[in-house]
Amino acid sequence: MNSRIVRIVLPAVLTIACEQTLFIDRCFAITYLTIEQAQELLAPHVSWKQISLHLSEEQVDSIEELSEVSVLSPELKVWNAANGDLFIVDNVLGKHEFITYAVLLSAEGSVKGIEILDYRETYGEQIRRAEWRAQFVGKSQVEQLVFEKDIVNISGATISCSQITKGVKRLLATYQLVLKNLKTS
Amino acid sequence: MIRRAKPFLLGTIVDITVFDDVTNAADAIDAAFQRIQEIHESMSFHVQSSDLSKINSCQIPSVLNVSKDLIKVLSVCLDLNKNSEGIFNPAVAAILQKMGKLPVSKGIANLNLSVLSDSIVIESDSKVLVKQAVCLDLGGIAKGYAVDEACKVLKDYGLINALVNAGGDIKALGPKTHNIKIRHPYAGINSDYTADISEQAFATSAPYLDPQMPAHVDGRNGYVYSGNEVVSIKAKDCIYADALCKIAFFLNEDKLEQLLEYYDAEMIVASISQNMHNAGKFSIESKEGYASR
Repeated sequence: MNSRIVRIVLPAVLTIACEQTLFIDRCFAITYLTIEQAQELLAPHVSWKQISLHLSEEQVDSIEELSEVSVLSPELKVWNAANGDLFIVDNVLGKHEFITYAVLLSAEGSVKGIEILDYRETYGEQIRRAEWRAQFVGKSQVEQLVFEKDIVNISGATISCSQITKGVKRLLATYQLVLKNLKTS
Repeated sequence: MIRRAKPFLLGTIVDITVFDDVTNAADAIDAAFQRIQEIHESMSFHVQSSDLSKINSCQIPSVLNVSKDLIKVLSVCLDLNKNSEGIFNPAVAAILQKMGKLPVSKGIANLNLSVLSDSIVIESDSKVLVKQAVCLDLGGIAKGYAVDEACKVLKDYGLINALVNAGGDIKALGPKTHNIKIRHPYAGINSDYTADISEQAFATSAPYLDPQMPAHVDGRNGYVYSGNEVVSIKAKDCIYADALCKIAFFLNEDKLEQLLEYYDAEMIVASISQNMHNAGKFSIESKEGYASR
């Protein structure tokens, strides 16, 4: 009978091989939008001025306390517009994915829009390695990574948005505790 | 080529790629996201004002006016419920959630699920009769439907080759061949486990990744699948690929062949070699930590 069912047995040895070599070396990245493209999409024809901000340890603690989400980096990537709108670029870490996204906040601190800039996927445990994450701060580890730049489509388990939800929660707390006061001072 | 992604649609990230070099590609993508948003709003279990929530909270009996999308999805649900001998049942996951317990290895003896058609009857393309109190969750099928509808929008814009991926529920519009990577239970995307699709839909169910989620539940008895098999379905429409890869975990093989034949679908089942179970630190137990986080 011509079956419609194909059975594959995946070799257990793959796990060992991957653990030692592939996991460290391979992931893929998709760039959906550059920062400029996201700014243009979220708020057309607005000129943005970048503010460079480094959160103090106390600020990190209070943001974490208010949002109940841990802060990944003390460096904040924030832009402001003449009308008081803020454009923030942030990263979140999921089970398999590292997502860079942008949020447009109104002068009153409400979310006006969200766009995904980059999506990088790799094996779940690798993504939590400090040195792997460090590539997003510096460039030290990038040369060790083989990014698959072709069209990559993955099937198998829904990617949850819960990390982005948490990321936005963290940014809203950051607004309340840091950005709001910054503007009035 | 243009590629965009949006979060929060249907609880996942939806990724749309257009391969044609045309000026209206960005508009087409926006319209497709808009269409998915519409479907999301009508079928969300969590949004109080959704048409689905109306069904879940109405007086019994009631005839409700709901979106045409919801009617289409419910009619497919009724079909699948009947053809899968009750395994596919959008009423079951919500019941388990409400009960606050997820039996992992045993079903619930007195779950007492009736056949879906005892509870809801479709009266017209915008009216549904709710005969018995139900609590439906379309999580196992709405994404597939939304992907199909998004592809229709892209086609209406005159696009030839495009791909829509809603968290792993994928459909390819046009003749271009796409290689889809399927996550290996332990190697993630580093597996060389792939499938090619062209003018087809593809969906994968990997219950090992979300052991706490009642996504793979036998609608007859509430049994939650807890093995480490990964099932992928290739079908013409994503709504069937999405639903069939849930049914596959519980239906016996002969019936499954018939069902795949009926919906003109193909299935790939991947499991881990038996050595896995004896591989010490690479055992399933030691790896579940990362899956459940």
